[in-house]
Amino acid sequence: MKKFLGIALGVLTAIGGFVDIGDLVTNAQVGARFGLSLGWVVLFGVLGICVFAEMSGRVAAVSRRATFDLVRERLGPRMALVNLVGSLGVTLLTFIAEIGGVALALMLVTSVNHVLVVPFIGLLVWAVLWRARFSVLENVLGLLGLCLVVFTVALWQLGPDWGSLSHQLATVDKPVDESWTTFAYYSVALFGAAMTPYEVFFFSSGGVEDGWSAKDIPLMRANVFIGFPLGGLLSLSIAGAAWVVLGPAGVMVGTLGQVGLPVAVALGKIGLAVAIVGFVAATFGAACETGLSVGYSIAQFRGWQWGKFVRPEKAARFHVVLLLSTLLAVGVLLSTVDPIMVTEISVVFSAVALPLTYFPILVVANDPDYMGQHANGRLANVMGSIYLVAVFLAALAAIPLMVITKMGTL
Amino acid sequence: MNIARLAAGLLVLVLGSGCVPATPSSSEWAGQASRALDSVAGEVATARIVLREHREDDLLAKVAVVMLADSEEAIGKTSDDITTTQRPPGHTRQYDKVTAEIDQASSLVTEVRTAVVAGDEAALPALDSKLRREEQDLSDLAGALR
Repeated sequence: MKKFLGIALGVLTAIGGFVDIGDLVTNAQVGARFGLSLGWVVLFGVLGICVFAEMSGRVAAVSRRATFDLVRERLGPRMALVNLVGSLGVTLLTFIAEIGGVALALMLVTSVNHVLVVPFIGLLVWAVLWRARFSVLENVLGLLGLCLVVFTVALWQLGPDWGSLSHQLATVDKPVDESWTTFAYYSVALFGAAMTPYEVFFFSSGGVEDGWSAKDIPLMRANVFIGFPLGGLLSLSIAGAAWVVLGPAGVMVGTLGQVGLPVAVALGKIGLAVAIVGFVAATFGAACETGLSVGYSIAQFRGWQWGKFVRPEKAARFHVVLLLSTLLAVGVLLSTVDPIMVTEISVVFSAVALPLTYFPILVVANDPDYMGQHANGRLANVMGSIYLVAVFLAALAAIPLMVITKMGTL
Repeated sequence: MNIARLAAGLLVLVLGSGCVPATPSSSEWAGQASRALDSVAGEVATARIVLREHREDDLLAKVAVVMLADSEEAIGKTSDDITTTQRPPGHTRQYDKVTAEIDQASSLVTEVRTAVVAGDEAALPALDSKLRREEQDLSDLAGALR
């Protein structure tokens, strides 16, 4: 019974923790313009994140060491530095976007300008990273993030033409008034949002924090292969609800309020309130995860003591990085930069950094010196290789498509 | 020496071209204007849905105001973008029409936000009709430019 509850809790937090500001905004933008025509990208991206999260989780469980730690040892400091710079840049950008997302969600209910709220959110994020236990952070925010299931309920309540939505999902096509280049741009953005690099760093480092061993591999796999796909279903629900309510009106989603509007239309005040709780939990949870990921990646690269399982004074440099990155994020947001724009940029640059993140994981997961009998099998390698080709293509196309389509505005 | 002169010439050219606002071609300008109108029509549509939900008491107290203010801000940005773009020769009438329509949309969304904040329920049905008409006018003008 206890084991079953453990699995259930892990799966539920994986669902709730899957969606972040990038998923919220990108899925609503794409849904309003393309319906579920790009749903296959979400499904493809979810399978990809499952493949690499399973690999990095297995690496953590077997070696009891996190990704960056092994990348530096296995591939050398130069390759590890390239890996660090690419992933760190995107994770920092995502961290900024997530804190901005919390501020925007709070602005919806308080009407206080998001810039004024940002310093308090930064302080709260830092306090949680400093004081809260890892399990509390993971479970409470993950479970509250489940409030986003309200989008699935809203889609059901809106009573869409399910045949038309299924057809959109099953065929690679676009609405007549959209161009193929814009279609390609949003495909890359959705792929980047689904496979954000910080997710694997957080997952593998979290595994070390939780003290996973080889016997925890089945539990870890249940979290990944049940929780993440159900999280992907939330993404599709956001897109579907946006298509039904905002698509016919030609709304181009540019604010968090517009993301939540379909829920208000379908379920009224209570539904909207639940959605806003979900926004806050999802973005605050992701802010903590990305903040920790910044600290994890630098500390693991430099070989410092890291993690929340050790007392802060024993991991002083790790906590200094957390503090400085929080200050940096708050500073950037105080410059009045639009958090939604930061989010849009972060998902595209996430696509650019994907090969730097995932190639080393594939190498380490194949190394029998670290992995022993748990090294990648044929299926994991075939899937990993297919996804490496996909992430290379996405990385190459991301910036040219961003320029050509003027960030999807054409 | 020749290379230095060439480099200096290129630098002057680059700096010079950077100082003069680029003039888009007719088709580029028309494309930009129609996209701006589509974007504004989307914001007017958002305001209409927000107003409808507000009247049906489906929105939390502050959400309607925040969303209407967001729409105003977005329209303002679009307006700035299109008015600061150098219009090509011979497009003065179209330019005036586009900017006037966007200004009208902006004023209308401001009017809606003011009425919602003031709790002027009696004014809301008429504003709903105005928003519908404005949305249609913006879409028609955008279609004519494509």
